[in-house]
This record gives sequence, C-alpha cells and structure tokens, in this order.
Amino acid sequence: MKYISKKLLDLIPTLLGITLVCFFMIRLIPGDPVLNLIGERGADPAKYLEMKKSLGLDLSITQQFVVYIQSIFRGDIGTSIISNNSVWSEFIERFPATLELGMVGLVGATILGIPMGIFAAIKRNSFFDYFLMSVSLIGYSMPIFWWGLILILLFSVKMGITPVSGRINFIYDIPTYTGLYLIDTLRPAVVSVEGFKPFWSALQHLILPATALGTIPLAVIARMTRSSMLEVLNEDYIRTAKAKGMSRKRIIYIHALRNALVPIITTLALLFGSIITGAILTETIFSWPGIGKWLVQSITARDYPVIQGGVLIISFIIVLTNILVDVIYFLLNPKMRS
Amino acid sequence: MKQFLKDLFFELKKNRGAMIGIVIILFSLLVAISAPVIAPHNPFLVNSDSLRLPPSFSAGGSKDFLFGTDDLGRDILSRLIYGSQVSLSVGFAVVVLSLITGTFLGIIAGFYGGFLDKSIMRLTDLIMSLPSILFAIVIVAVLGPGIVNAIVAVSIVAIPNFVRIIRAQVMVEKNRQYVSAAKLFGASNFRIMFIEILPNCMAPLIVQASLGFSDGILNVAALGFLGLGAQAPMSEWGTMLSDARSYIESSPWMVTLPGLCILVVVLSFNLLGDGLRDALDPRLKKQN
Amino acid sequence: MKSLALLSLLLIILPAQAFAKSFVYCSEGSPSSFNPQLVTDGTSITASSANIYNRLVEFAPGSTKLIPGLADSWTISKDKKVYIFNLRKNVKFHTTKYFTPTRDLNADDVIFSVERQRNKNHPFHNVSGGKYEYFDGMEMGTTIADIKALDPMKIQIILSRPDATFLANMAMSFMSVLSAEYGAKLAAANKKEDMDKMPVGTGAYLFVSYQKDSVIRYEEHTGYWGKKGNVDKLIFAITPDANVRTQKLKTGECQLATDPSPADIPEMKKNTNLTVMDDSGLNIGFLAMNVTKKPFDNLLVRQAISHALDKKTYINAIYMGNATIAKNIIPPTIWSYNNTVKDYDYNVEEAKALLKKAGFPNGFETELWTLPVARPYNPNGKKMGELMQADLAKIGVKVKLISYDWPTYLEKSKTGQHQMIQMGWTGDNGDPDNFFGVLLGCASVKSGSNYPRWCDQKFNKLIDDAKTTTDVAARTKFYMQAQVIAHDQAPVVNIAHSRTFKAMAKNIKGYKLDPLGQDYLTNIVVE
Repeated sequence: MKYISKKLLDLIPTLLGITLVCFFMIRLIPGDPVLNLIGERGADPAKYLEMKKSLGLDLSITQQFVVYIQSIFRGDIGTSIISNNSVWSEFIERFPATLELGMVGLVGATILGIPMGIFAAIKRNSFFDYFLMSVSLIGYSMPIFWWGLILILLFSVKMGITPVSGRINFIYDIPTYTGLYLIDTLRPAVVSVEGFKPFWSALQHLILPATALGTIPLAVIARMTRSSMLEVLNEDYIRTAKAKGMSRKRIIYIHALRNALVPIITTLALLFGSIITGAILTETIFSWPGIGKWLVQSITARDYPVIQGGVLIISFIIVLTNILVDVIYFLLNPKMRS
Repeated sequence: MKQFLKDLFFELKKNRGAMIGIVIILFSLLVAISAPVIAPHNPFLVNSDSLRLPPSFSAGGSKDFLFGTDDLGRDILSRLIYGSQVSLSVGFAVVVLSLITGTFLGIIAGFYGGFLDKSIMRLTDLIMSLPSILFAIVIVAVLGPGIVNAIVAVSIVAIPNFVRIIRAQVMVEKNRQYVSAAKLFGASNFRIMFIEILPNCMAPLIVQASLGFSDGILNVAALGFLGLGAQAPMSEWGTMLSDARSYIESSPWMVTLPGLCILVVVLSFNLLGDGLRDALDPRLKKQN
Repeated sequence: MKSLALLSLLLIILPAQAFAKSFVYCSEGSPSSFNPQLVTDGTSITASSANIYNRLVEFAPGSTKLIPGLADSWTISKDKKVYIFNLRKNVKFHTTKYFTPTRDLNADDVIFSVERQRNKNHPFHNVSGGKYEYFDGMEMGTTIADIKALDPMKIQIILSRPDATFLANMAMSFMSVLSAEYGAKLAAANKKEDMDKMPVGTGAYLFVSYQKDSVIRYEEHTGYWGKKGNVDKLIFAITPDANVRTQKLKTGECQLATDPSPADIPEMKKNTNLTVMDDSGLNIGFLAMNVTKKPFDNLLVRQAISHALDKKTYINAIYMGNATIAKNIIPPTIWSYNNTVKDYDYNVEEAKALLKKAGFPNGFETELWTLPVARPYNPNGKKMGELMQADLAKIGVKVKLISYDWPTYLEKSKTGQHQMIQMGWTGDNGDPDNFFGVLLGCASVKSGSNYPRWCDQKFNKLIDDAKTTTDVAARTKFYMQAQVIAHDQAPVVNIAHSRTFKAMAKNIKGYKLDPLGQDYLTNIVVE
C-alpha cells in the first residue's frame, strides 16, 4: 500500500509540470485563435476585442494560467473555442472510438503475438524462428502511415473488400450507449430492426485500421514473448522439471509460460502509450473519428483549451497506466516485495 | 578502444541480421553520396509533358523513367535517390543532437544525484508521459513546419532514452574502484565524468544510437507525412508519401516506393541495433 | 484458423447496399453553423440554407436565374428603390423534436430574419458571435433603408439607393427566412444560441442530429410547400478527403460525392455504375502581386511576371486539364466578359526584357505564399507554387515558397503582409460586381479581399458606376472597359477557371449542378 501511495504522490509534480509546459508551449504557437474563428472576410476591431475578451484571451499569460489552474481544480478543464463544447465532453465523445480501435488492435496483436513468440522460442534457430522474427522485425520497423496506405490500396482500392474510412456506414443510425460500435450494434434494439448488418459494417470498418495499428504491438509482443520464454526455459527449475521427466507440453505451458508472462504483461501495458501515438497517424489515414485526429485538428485550428485539456488527459492516462504496470509488476514479482 | 571495436566487429560478423543491416546502410550511404552522379534526372525538374507516368515496366510507362514520375512530372527514382540524402542526414542529426544532450544530462544526473538528478528525471518523465509524435507535433507547431524544426522536435523527444540509459550506467560505474582512484589523484569532476566514466558507458550508448537512427528517420518521415516536415521542393520520403496520398487510386506507384525506402532503411538500422545489443550485452552472450 | 474464417466471411459480405429512399451525401467538411446568416463557406451553406431553408427569391435549380421562393410575386417601383414582396400562403415550418410551430410563415418571420442582421439592438443580433459577414460584405445594411410589413403577407423594403444587385443578393444564402416563433420560444427559455445549432426552416428537409466531423442526419419535411424528390432520410457523411469520397461512392457508402479529386475523374467516368457531372465553375484562381510593396509597385515587373508563368502547365498538372486558362478576373460564363482582351502569353524572353527595362536585369528575390487548403479554384496550392517557383527561376526571380495554416494565411494576407500570394474566388450570386468589387475595388483594400491591394481610380469609378445603374447594357459597357484596365495594369495574374465535378451513383436522378457550387438536394430521386 505504501508503495502505491508513494507512486501516486510522485504523480502530482509530473502532472503539474505537464500542465505548465503545455500551457506555455501552446501559447507560443503562432496564429490568433480569434481570427481563426472569424474567417475569410475579416472583422472590425471592436468586435474582435469583444470576442477576445469573451474567451479570456485579453488577460496576461500569467493571469490566464492562474485562471486555468483554478478551473482545473474545480474539475473544469476548459471549453473549446471552436465548438463551444466542454473539452471533457468532446473527449468523452471521441475516446470510445480510439479505445475500440486500440483494444481491437492490441487484443489481436496479443492473440497472434504470444503464440508466435512461444513457437519461435520452442523451435529456436529453426527456419520458423528466423522467419517469424524477421517478419516481426519488419513489422517493428514499419512506418505505419505507409502501411495503412498500402492496406487501403490492397484491400479497398484493388479488391474493394473493405471500406476506407469512418466507423460505420451512416445508413445505420445506431444510438450510442457504450460508444463502442461492436457492442452498440449488438444490442437487441438494434438487431431486431436491422439484423446483424450494422455489426458487420462496424467490423468491416474496423479491420484495416486495427491491423495497421496492431502491427507494431504485434511485433513487440512476439519478440518479447520469445525472449522471455527463452530466458525462462534456461532457468534452473525448468531444467529440474525436465530432469524429473515432466512432459514437455506441461513444462512449456504451465511452468515456463506462467513465469514468462510477467514481462509480457508489462510490455502490454507499456504498449498502451504507443497505441495512442499510433492512433494519431492511423486515425489521420483512416479518418477515424477518435482523439488522435481530434488533437491534430485542434492544433491546426489553434483551439488552445482542447490541446491543453486533451494533452493533459492523455498524459494522465499514460502516467496512470505506468503506475498500474509498476503495481502489477510489484504484485506479480515476489522478489521485489521483500 | 581499438580493441573494443575489433571485438565488436568480430561479434557482429557472426550475426547475419546485423551484417545485412550494415550492408544496406552502406549501400544507402553510397547512394546518398553519389546521388548527383547516379540520379538519371534532376529531381526537381518539373516535366509537364510526362505527368504521373507509371513505372517503365508497366503499361503506359516510359523507358526514361524507371519508377515513373510524380504529379509534377518529376522522376521518382531520382527523387528517391536524393531522398536518401535527406533521410540519412536527418537520422544522423537526430542522433547527434539527442545523444549529446542526453549524454550530458544523463551523466550529470547520475554523477551528482540529489536535486539535480531529481529535476532532470522529472523532465524526462514529463516528456515520456506524452506520446512522442504528439509532443513532436506540438513542438513543430510552435517552431513552424520545416525539416530543421522537425529534426529539433524529434531530437527533443528522443533525449530521455539517452538520459535514462547513461544515468543508470553512471550510477553503477561511479562506485567502481577506478573512479575512487581517480578521485584520490585529485581529478576534477569534469575529468571523472567525461574522461573516466563515459568511455565505460559506450556499449549501451552505441546500441541506443543505432536504434535512435531508425526512430529519428521514422518520426521525421511521420512529421513530413503530416505536412509538418520537409517543405517543397525538397525530396523527402515522408513528404513524397503525403503528396502521393491523393493519387492512391489513379497512380499507386507514387505511394508504394517512398514508404518502401523508409521501411528498408529503418529496418537496416534496427537489424544493426539488435546485432549490437546481442554483441554487447554480456548476459545474452553467455546464453548463446 | 479462426481469423481466416473471419476473413473469408468478410469477403462474402460486401458493403451493404443503401435502403430505398435513404440518401447519403459525402460532404467535404463540418459546417461551422446551421444558421446561413452566420456562414460564408459552401460546406455550411449546403448543410443549412440549400436544403433546410428558403428565401423570398431563389436561384432556379442549376442556374443563377431568379425565381419566386417564399415570395410568390414582387413589384419594383420606377425609381428602383421600393420593393414589395407578396408572401406565399400555407408555408409550413419544420416540426422537430425540439419545436412544434403553431402557425404558417408570415411577415414577422421575414422581418425577424433581416432585422437580426441589420439592427444592432435586435435581441438576437449578438447571438453566436453576432458576425454577419455576408450581410455586411454585400453592404445590405446600408442598402436597405427600411423594412416593414404592409400586411401579414406583404413586405416592403425601401433602398437607400438603387442597386442593380439587390434582387440577386436577396436570393443568397444569408437571406434565408428563419422562424420568428421559434426565436421567441428560445428567447423565453434563454437558449438563443440553439437557433443556430438546432435549425428550424421551411425547406424540403428538417434537421435531426449532428455529430461533428462525422455525420449530419435530416428527414424529409412532409409539409414542404414546393416540389421535392423521394428521399425520406438525408444523411451527410462528412468526408474531408476527396479521394476517400470517391472510394466511398464506389463502395456504395454514399450516393453522391461532392468535388471528387480531378485525378480520379477519368477512372470514374469509365465506371458504369457512376454518373459524373461537370460544369464550368463560377470561379477564378489567381496570383496577386502586392502593389504596395517593392518591386511590384513597378508595372513592368508585374507584366514580366505575367509573361513568365506557364499557365498551360498549371492547368495540366494541377487541375488535371479540368480548367480553362483565365485572362480576366471574371469567368467567361458571366455576362459582360470581355473576350477581346488579349492575354499575356508565356514568353520567357519578353519577361526577361521587361525585367531588364524595370531595372532588374538579374532578377530579384521575393516570397510567394501558397494556398494551404484545396479549393475548387486551386486544388493544390503547394504544387502550383512549386511550378511557379520553377517558372520564375527561369527569369532570375528567386522565389521562396511560404505557407501558413489557413487562418494565419488569411490573417496575414488581409493586412497586406504578403508579396506574391495565391488566392481565388467563387462567385456568390452570379453578378459581375461580386468579382470586380470584392477582388479589385478600392473599398476592398481596407476590408482585405483586394489581395493585390490595388486601387485604381479609373477602374474603381467604372465599377461604381456599373453598380448603381440597373441598365444591363450600360453596366456591360462599364465592366468591359474595367477589364481592359485590369489587364493593362496587371495587379494579378489570372490563372484558371476550374470546372467543378460531382459524382453520383447511377440510380440517382434529379440532381442539378449549381453554378455557385452548392449542393441542392431537394429534387433528388433515388430509383
């Protein structure tokens, strides 16, 4: 418990630092958000000042920062200049899209990656090992913005199998409950009217972006599984088990895998951060309406509150996952507890 | 040092992946250096009579343009060749920038400890708690788009890796006997840090530098793809890719080749990095 | 194995076909507001006024001809200053989840809609930012001296001066008629902003829901006063990438794609499942030279640049041949186009000679700002910039290409910080003044839309005279002369008038291309 609370306390300066850096860096981005709002034909100076004031941009930067910090402590992380919606509500609206994409990508990568890694470890130095590891190294080196385009080129443009962008065919008007379309489209209310077509549509839309996003995690997981399996297989107790005449299968799946899982789980959790990085590029390519695309758009639109708030939430999530990883690691690894 | 490199190369020679990596890297280096000689066309020459010609080996292609032309009729092969200049120097610049800054910060953090260490580590935590591309985008948004600013942004994002590695190593090394001996002889802190300790941190640094190369190339290309990197008319692979996006349907060859180049170069540095790690990590060495 | 089975299943199930009478339109962006009074961009106009609102006078489908809209007739006084509009009877407003009208359209609604923009003390004037770009830009505030109801179905508008463009302005999107009853209800509930987010109009479709950057849903307005097609569910799939719109159209995820990429046109024309329509657009793409900055204050320099640019290449490379070379600032489809003007030909030697005469035998260094967004009048500013850079290098002019994001680009260029800049214009109402006045008039130097910042007294007097005359023959004469002056003084290099494209599924009928670039979907029939 003490360990966890210490970790949580460490969090506060990091988050404060992020807030501070974000706030001032974003203020340095050239371009006036008010003029951005006004558009192509220009505005008269009085109205301009009025708008500036209503957005709180007439205050000095330090004053703005004080106001911002105060409102964060009230639980308000800001309001978008462009849409007038609260940053939190915009985030919540888009987060399920990224979550769905990321989860499917990550789960797919895990399901494929762990067996690949185990297999490679068992058949060490065989052709399969070399092949799988070469493929995974290629996957690891993949520029996913190109990989996404190649997937589109192959499966959408050439073969016409999968759609190219968006989350679902808009013909279907699916009421949002969880925001995860794979779940929302399976609710009885939807299925009874439209059947499983909306679900298929959602799945079809998901398959390419999830593949693109899952490629690097897949490579990382396969490599990680292989090396941690190799390490465990070399340990004394496995050798002892072998000597005792335990079946090979039992050794691999019960003893070795269980111990190898610790670093694998850690890797998985750490991949969470890279999923968000990947989401920024993947969502841009596939017009996926998630937080990656949202943030890139708000940077070009100079929507200060959205950039600040969005970056803050994301770093908060990442920092929290890292702590979670530490805790899991701590719990799983008896050596560390003593 | 000489012996160290000799040993290293001996180890590497046994690693097929690393050798492939080195060969590709040397090849692309050769291509980059001899670009003005081997490029069949001027990569910036706009050719309005031959817009978006397919590669010469497919229908409708012209034998003048092996890999076809882009939307302004420029020779894609020549642009790819010149692109290797950009990508390799970008990788180099990123590694040098982040390595120097990161090593410096890492050494003083590990050596002095205390408040200095705490604040430097906080700073790296901070950078690492943001997705790297997102942070790089924000930096480029502040500095303005362009290849130099993209390099700066990507280098900043890469610094924490170096800081952490060096710091960990220094914390081990500083308790070694040779350091105490140097202290006894009255060596200055500067001397101890950079002359005594640093050479002993070389192994992980070399590995990280190789991997930093590939990360740097990849991230600058990603920024170029988002329109924040190299600007016209520079031929950079990521930017070429982003220009080609709108022609994915009508001229797919414009999309395929630049990405393939990025992949191959990044892959070769990763192969080398993996090989170096295997060669330099004694724990793994024992296992083999 | 499982994933293989899944994949083969995916292979079997092709993208779902549209349900009968649902119509998905691939639009290019999110609207900035659903109130046409507040917007100027085509995307927002298509999402609001074109399909959910009506105006007293409207443009006939597919033309700039004026036809009766919510006013079924009107009279104009002899001195051209008093207009009386007779309102159409039995016009129903939309009944939506958030509003149920209790009465038909009457004069209150018209006055409410005009006064919100005209009268600074109107309770709705400052709502949602209170900026009425079009209303102000077309000088409606000073043109309209008075508006009042003669009876509940009769509106009188008195002008402060005769204005040849007034009726055409009345047909523009910003003169859409909003519901005064809805306004009163919102004012009472203190939710005035909803007027611009949750619209209530009289058009063929009514608003259902909107998810930013994703989708807008409409339903048919069963009480619509006019003729309409058979679409009962209208869906806007917001798709900013032109090639993605094309791909969605091909896979059947939308039935009409607006402004597909010119590169994809040949392929689409071959596809037997698609119809591709095109029309000469009412637009102009140009390169403006800031005459208030050296060396562009020198006429010879401007003429040299005009000779140095190879427009034909631009048409091929940037517009994929889907444009005509421009020599005047107005497109040839607008009346008063002066075809006798002889364009500056592409002539490097001539350009060099002119530069030498101007005192720059070795050229000079300058900046060229490239358009950061794709517009019909210039689909790829960056690429065009690269071509211009190469052309100008041939006469020794070293050009640095600069681009900012769109808002910064506008901000800096409106205040004249540029040297050379790519710009363009799409007509609003088909009147020549909408080009000459906005782009080259002296008044526009101050408002910023005169990008060369060129104020020529002779030219300005001609276009001023043309605006206050209603005699078309006289106006034509003035504009013809104005074009000659603009050509000789060369404040801009006119590049191209592009063609605009729409692609749709074969079973879509009743769509007409609008020369002003909006998508009117009222008459769509899904077969």
